[in-house]
Amino acid sequence: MSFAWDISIKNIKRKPFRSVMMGLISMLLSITVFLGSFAVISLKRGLEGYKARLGSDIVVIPSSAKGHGSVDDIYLQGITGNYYMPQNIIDKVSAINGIETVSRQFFLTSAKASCCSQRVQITGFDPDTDISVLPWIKDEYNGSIGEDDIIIGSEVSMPDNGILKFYGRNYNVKAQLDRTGTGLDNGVYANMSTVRRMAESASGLSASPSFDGVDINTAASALFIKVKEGYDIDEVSDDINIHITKVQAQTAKSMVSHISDGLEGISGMIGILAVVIWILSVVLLIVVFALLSNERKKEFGVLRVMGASNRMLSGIMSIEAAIISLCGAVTGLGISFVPIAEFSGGMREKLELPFLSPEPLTILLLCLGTLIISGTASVLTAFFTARRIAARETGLLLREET
Amino acid sequence: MEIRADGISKKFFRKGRGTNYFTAVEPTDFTLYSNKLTGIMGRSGSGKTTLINMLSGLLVPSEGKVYLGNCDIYEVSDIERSQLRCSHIGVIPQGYTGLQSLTVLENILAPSRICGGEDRTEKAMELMDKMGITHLAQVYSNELSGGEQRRMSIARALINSPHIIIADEPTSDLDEENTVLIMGVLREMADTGAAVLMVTHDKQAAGYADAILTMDNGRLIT
Ligand SMILES: Nc1ncnc2c1ncn2[C@@H]1O[C@H](COP(=O)(O)OP(=O)(O)OP(=O)(O)O)[C@@H](O)[C@H]1O
Ligand SMILES: [Mg+2]
Repeated sequence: MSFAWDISIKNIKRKPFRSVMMGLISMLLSITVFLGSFAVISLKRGLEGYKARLGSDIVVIPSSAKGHGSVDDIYLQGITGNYYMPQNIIDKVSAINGIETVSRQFFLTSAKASCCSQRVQITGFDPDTDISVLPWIKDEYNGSIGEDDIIIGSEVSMPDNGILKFYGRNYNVKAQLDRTGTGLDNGVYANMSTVRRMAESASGLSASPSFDGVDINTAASALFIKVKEGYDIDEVSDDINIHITKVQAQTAKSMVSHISDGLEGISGMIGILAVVIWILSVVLLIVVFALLSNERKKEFGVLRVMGASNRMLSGIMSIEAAIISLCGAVTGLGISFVPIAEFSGGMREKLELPFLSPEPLTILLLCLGTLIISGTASVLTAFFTARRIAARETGLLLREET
Repeated sequence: MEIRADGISKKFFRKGRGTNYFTAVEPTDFTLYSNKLTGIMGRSGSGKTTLINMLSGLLVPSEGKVYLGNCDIYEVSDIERSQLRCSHIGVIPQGYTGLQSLTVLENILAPSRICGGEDRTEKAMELMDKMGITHLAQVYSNELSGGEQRRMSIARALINSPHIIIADEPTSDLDEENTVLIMGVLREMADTGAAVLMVTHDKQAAGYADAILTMDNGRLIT
C-alpha cells in the first residue's frame, strides 16, 4: 500500500471523532440528494400515471348524470352512477367531426343486498379500444380479461376463494389493483359483455337499479374520446355540447389541470428544499474541513519536512475525504430507505398525493448518483482545503502549535 | 554534499515603527561543510529557526539563493524540492513533531516511504536501538515522553542516511543522559561524513561542535 493510503486510513482510525463528524455531513448530503430526487421523481411519475389513466381527450356522459356528479368525479374520484346513453345518441356523438376513436364504458352500482357480496362500483370497458382503465391495470395484471373475469380495487375485500358474487352470479377475481387513494379503489372492472350480463341479471331482481328504459345491450354510461390529429380538443368538445343536447362533454385537460398544477408546485418545492439543504451541507462541509485542517497544520508541516510534496498532502486529504464520505453516503442511503418503505405504504394515503416510486433501475442509478455527488463534493473540498494550506510555507506551518 | 547560502534574508510582514515588515534574518552568506558539526547559538527571537528553515528548503528567502550542491533549491518545482529534501536532508524540527496516527516505528519509517525505494525496516531497528527506543516501536508517538519523542524524531531524520542534517534545538529541555546520547549520535554522523547543523542554547551540547556561530538580531556572526 502506498504511504498516502496507509496514513490516510490510519488517520481515520486514530481520529474517530473527527472522522464520524465528517461522515455525518456526507450522510446528510446523501440523504438530501437521494430523498429529494426520489420524491420529485415519484411525484412526476404519479402525475404521469394520472394523465395516462385519463388517456382520452374528451369524456362524455349523459346530462341525466348531473345528479350523480360531474365528469371530474368519475375520473379523479372514481365515483360513478347508474346513468346511460342509448345507442342513437352514441351514434350522434361518434359522428361529430374530428373524432378518432370512441371507447364505451358501462357503469353499474351494485346494491348492498343478499344478491351481492359487497356494494361496489362496477365498470365495464372495451378492452379493444380502452385507453383509460387498461394502462392502469397493466401495472398489476397483464393477462387477458375474459368472460366473467373481474379486477378489483384495493378497497374491495378479496374473497378467500377468489370468487365474488353479484346479482346471483359468480365472477372470478383475476387481480387486485394498487391503492390510488380515490374512489377508484372501490371499483370492480370487467369487460363490457360481462358487465352487460351482470346488468341483465340485475334487471330481474328487486334490488336492481333502474335502467331508464334503455337497452342495456347497446347503451353506455360514458364515452372516452380520442380526437384526431390536427383537430382542436376544446373545439370538438364544444361541438358535442352544442349539437347534442342530452350529453355533457368535458376535456381531460380541464380535469387534471388543477391537480397537475398542485403537484408541480409541490414537487418544485421539494426540489428547492433539497437544493437548499444540499447547498447548506456543502457549505458546512467546507467550514468543517477548514476548521479541521487548521488543527492539522503542524501535521502537514511535519510531513513536508520529511519530504512530502504539496501534491502528496492534497492526495492524503482527498483519500481520507473519499473514504469517509463514501461511508457516510452509504449509511445515508441506508437511512433513506426507511422513509421510502413508509412512503410506499401509509404515507401516500396520508399525503393524498399520487406517489409512484421509480423503477428499481432508476433507484439504483439514483443511489450511484448520490454516492458520486457526495463523494465528489467532499473530495473536491478536501483537495482545495489541502491546496490552500500547502500554499503556506512549511516553515510557517511548523510554527502553528497544536 | 554541501549547502551554500548566497545572501539570503527573510522579512516578515509585521506592523512596526515606520515600516510594514520586520527583518528576521539580515542578508547572510553561509556554507555548511561536510564532516563538520556546526552549532548556532543566540538569543531567542534572533532568527535562528528562520535561517535554518531557509537552508532546509522549507522557507523561501526574501532575497538570495540556497544551493544544495549545484542545485538552486528554490528554483526547482515543489515536487523536485521535496524529493531533494527527502533523500538528502534530514531535518529535526524544533519542538515535538511526532505524527500521532503512527507508531514510533511507522514514524521513523515515514520519510523512507514518502521517498519511495527499498524497505528500510532493518535500518529503523538499528536506529531505534542506537536511540534506546526499541521497546517503544509499537507505541503511538503521543504516548511518549519529551526525551523519547526527541529521540524518535532524530531516528526519523536519519532513516534515509542523509548527507545533511539540520537540527533545531535537539536537546532543549532534556536531561544530561539524553543530551549525551543525542549529541553522541550527531557527532558520529559528522565524523562519518555528514554536514551537521545544530541550533542550541545548551552549553553542554555546544561542546560537541567543531565551530559555533552566533546569531544576533538577524545577523550571523562568524
Ligand atoms: N511568520 C512570522 N511572522 C512574523 N514574524 C515572524 C514569523 N516567524 C518568525 N517571526 C519573527 O522572526 C524572529 C525570529 O524568529 P525565529 O523563530 O527565527 O527565532 P529563534 O531564534 O529561532 O528563537 P527561539 O530560540 O526562541 O526558537 C522573531 O522575532 C519572530 O517573532
Ligand atoms: Mg527557534
